[in-house]
Amino acid sequence: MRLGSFTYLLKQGAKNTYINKAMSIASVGVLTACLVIVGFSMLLSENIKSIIGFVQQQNEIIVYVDPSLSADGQSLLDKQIRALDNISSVEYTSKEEAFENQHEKLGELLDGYENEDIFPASYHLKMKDLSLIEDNVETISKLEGIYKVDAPTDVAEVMVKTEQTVTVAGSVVVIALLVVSLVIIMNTIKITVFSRRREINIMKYVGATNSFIRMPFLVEGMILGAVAATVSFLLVWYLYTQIYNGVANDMTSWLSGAVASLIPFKAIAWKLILAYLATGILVGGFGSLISTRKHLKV
Amino acid sequence: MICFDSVSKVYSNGTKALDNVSFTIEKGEFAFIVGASGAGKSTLLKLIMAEEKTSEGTITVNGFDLSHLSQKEIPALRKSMGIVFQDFRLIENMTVYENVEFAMRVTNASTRSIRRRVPYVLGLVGLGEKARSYPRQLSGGQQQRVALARALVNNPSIIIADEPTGNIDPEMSHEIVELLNEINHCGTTILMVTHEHRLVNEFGRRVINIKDGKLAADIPDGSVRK
Repeated sequence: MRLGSFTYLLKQGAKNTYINKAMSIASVGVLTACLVIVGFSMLLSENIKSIIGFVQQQNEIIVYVDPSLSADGQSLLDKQIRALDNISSVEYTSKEEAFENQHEKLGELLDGYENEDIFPASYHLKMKDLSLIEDNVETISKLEGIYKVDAPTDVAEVMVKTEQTVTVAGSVVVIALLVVSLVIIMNTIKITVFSRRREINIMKYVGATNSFIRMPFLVEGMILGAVAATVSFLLVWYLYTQIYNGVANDMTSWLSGAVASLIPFKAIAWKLILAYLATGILVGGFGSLISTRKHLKV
Repeated sequence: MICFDSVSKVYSNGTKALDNVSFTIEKGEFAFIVGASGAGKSTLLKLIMAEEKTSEGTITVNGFDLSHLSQKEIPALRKSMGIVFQDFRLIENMTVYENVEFAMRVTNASTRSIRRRVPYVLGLVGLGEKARSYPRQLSGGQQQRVALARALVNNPSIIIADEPTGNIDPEMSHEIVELLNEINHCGTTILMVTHEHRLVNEFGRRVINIKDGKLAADIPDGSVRK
């Protein structure tokens, strides 16, 4: 194909998008609605998971060290704890610090006990994956010099199950919405192409090959897909930011930590626009190709 | 140029549209195909345009054996002929110029040759001034002349006209056939389906009469009665 013919077909596709304004607006509208709904469902699911992740992070294993452990033993235990798998942070509190902390709370009740080993040294461990808490507790319990291990295993189990449920339910809802959206979009494109079947028929009689006829429709579909992706992105950007700011500015302090774990739009903006553009262009382009096929048999 | 050899066409519902039809149209001829409604004229054109396949017999058009023509070869066959329809079949959202240009674009013609040829052909059919108009802004006769320009623009060896005067007034009808006549004088083969006996008698060209799917008469330089 000559370069002139190729640019002609590209121009035809762009021109047809404008000429068939009503159908273009309908297609962009349907595609935008679907992309926004699917996008918001995904964002909601991701945010719930992020909040659950934050709450999970608040759960920690507290390891109390045997007060009779020697300095060498303490040094070895410290190395062993810091080398454990699945631990995201380790916070050590010495016997003296523990006493100071309690002294601040209890005051003169503890006066005179400064040199006694009332409070053992401890480690506060945060986990990367809460579902592995029982394995961690078992490993730590077997270490030399452990006085006691406190771990919220029941809470951890509930949190893990909640996260799994949200992940599965979120995926099912997003997939269902995607399928419904695809069906609606395909039908909209079919109607668009159907309204122009006479045009396709004429082109066939003039001797145009199938690929020659399809090219402008492909370009048109891709343009509509890209426009819908951009509109969807801007809509989601605006709406999400409004909701995010609304929640962040009107939240009681006990939930402020959870709000801090909401995903800011900036963090997902690039991923979202790329995903939207890829989906819009692919759905628009392939939808047009598939819909024209039926009318090419003349 | 066009050769029908014992051609029959039976549709899937059992209707026998053509029954053992044979004729040959030589290069440079002008032939009218006449016959009553339902006689088989449209089927005959559909077979020539490869819109339908024969049930029996062979058809050769411009060297293409239509009995063995694959789907991929159909565009090449159609590019070798110009087709004019009763309902003009112009693309509504393209201007007169663009409608004619499109026919050249499908042949992969260069932009330079398109810019030279399209205005020339529009001038030939008397529509040089209407290049930027849309089909809806033109009369029936003018739209048919655009269709004729589109059929002519690739310099085809055959022009197939399916009742080209069916939707236009008698005076304009005469002009259209006159144009076809002039094109024929330049060496292009013309095959025109019509039921307007007045025009057939007036131009006195070869007449192929189809009746009940059979070749009822083939009159060289003939005429038909009303």
